[in-house]
Amino acid sequence: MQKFLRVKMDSKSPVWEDVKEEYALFGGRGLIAKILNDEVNPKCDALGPENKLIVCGGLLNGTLAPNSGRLSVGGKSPLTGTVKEANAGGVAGQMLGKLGIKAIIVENKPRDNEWFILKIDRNNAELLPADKYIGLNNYALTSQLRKEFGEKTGIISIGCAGERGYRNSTVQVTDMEGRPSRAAARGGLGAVMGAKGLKAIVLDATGPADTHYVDKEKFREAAKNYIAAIKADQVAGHVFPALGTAVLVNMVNALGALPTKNYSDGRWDKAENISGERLAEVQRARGGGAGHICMPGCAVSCSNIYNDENGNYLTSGFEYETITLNGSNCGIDSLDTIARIDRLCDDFGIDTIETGGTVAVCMEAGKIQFGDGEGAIKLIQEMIDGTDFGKILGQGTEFAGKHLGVKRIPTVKGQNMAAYDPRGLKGTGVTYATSPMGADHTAGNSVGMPKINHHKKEGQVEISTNLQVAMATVDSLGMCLMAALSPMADPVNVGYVCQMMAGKYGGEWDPDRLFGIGVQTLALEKAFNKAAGFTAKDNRLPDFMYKEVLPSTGSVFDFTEEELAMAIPF
Amino acid sequence: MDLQSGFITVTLRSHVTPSACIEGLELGKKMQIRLAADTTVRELAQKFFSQNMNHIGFIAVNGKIAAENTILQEGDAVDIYSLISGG
Repeated sequence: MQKFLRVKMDSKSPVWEDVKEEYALFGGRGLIAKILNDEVNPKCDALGPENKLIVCGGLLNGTLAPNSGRLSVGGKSPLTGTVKEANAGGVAGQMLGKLGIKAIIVENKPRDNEWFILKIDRNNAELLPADKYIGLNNYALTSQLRKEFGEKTGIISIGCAGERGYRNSTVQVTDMEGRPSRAAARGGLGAVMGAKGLKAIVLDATGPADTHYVDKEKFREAAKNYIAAIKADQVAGHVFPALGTAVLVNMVNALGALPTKNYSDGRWDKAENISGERLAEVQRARGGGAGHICMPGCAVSCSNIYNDENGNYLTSGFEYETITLNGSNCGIDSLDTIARIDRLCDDFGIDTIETGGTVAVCMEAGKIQFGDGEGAIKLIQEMIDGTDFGKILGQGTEFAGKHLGVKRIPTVKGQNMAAYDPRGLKGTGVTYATSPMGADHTAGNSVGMPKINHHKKEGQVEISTNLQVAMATVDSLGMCLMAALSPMADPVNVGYVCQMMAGKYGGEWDPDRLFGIGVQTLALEKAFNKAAGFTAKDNRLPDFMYKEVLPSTGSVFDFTEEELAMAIPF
Repeated sequence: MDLQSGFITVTLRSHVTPSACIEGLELGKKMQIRLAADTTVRELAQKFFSQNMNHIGFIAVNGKIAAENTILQEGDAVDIYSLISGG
């Protein structure tokens, strides 16, 4: 039977709780929304004791389902002030499932500014003093923790950014090789973890999983069919394993939606230099490249290893968003430089999307020039060093942009947009505007939708709504979106997911019931935001997106408030 | 250039596995192919992807999304993109 592990940091007491029946069909993102509504004051200070840090897997976590071990991290966001769920690959998600943990709920804060490691194994959960680990960034930290607690442990950790309360800070997760290269990146949840005095969670899930199924054979059959569907899928089974998500660089550039020089254009003549195709070519010679698996049970292998020019490991999980925000959006066309930025971000524990956006507003303000890769690294180093200006940058793009007097600040609800200009990809623009998470492409990205004109607004509200429901469902199941969106475009494969839910939880499952999970999740998230003080007027892109024509497409973002109000009407 | 013989050469890069055999084609790698002069984007797609046109998201010529009736020219770079939903 799955348990909640409630960790009260003021009394230093981890306590196991039975899970109430009403939580049975909540998981991942949906579970976080439910707990936040039930237990957290929406108007609380996100970095104060009233907020809670929630760490959990999804409804299919710990099962035989492929790609079902995503780790969800949530709380009220210090960056956006909204509900927040960010999820990551790596090994920790599945370990929670193996340990029978439905969620870890971290509350309050230590009385004397103490720091702790939360160590969990099959028999015990305990808070251990973390004094000797404070001041370490993620790579050194996880290396030491694995020496102390074993190479087979999974680690969820924060770097110094989270310790210092940077609002762009991440929660990092170790991958199959024990490297902290996977990030629950968005919304500053590293700072929430830091505010709880929690430096890391160390999971030891040695031993067999004890997962309960209502009908295991039914589940196994559906999982087998779904794996076959992934392998046969053109994108999940062929393109991603060969080229990774960076394959999107040339594609989005051709669409005219590639963020370029702080969203001043959507097409860049140097895009080829930072493309997935170039990355594959460079890494073939250096012994790195695509086809890497970041978590157990992955049937896609879209991750990669990026080696430096000497063939030594530099970073992994080097994704399209990171490459574009820190590449074309900053005018930087060196993959080696962007990979160094990615490594610094993972190590210090900051969001690569927010970081690229922040560096770009500095460039627009004239602090450094577009294209100045070493200058970009120096700005990130200022965050790491904790200089006065570095602390400003660590509060995110909107804070830094306003400080510098920049007019083109690409944020919604305080969060930097991802690597799709919403004037050139309007369905994703609707998602940026209306998602309860703030500007977040993983909440519903229209780039893969067939037979639509992405530069026109017709039909985009409906497309965004359908995608937001689908993504809220996938995030609640704990599935990786790379294994979900493309295969689940086929109703037959949706049927396999329904069959897995029936095999796991019993009862009849059809697509309406399955995607009802997403509708329920979005409704809970909107309720939390409304109680926190957000209104329809917050569902808006920055002014320049409505007024400045994107040169690559000749379009602006032209949705009215009334039109946007039609999105996710739950 | 081979225009007098009624053929053109274009650079093809595809993210979709063609249903017809294109010898030497690897996903995401450029290669040169010969086509009849006046071949349109639609005709190229029908020639090599007739059984899996639904896997194609869009086709770009020289780095920009191209209409189906675009007539290919000698030296054009053609990219076949799949329906990629990730990121």
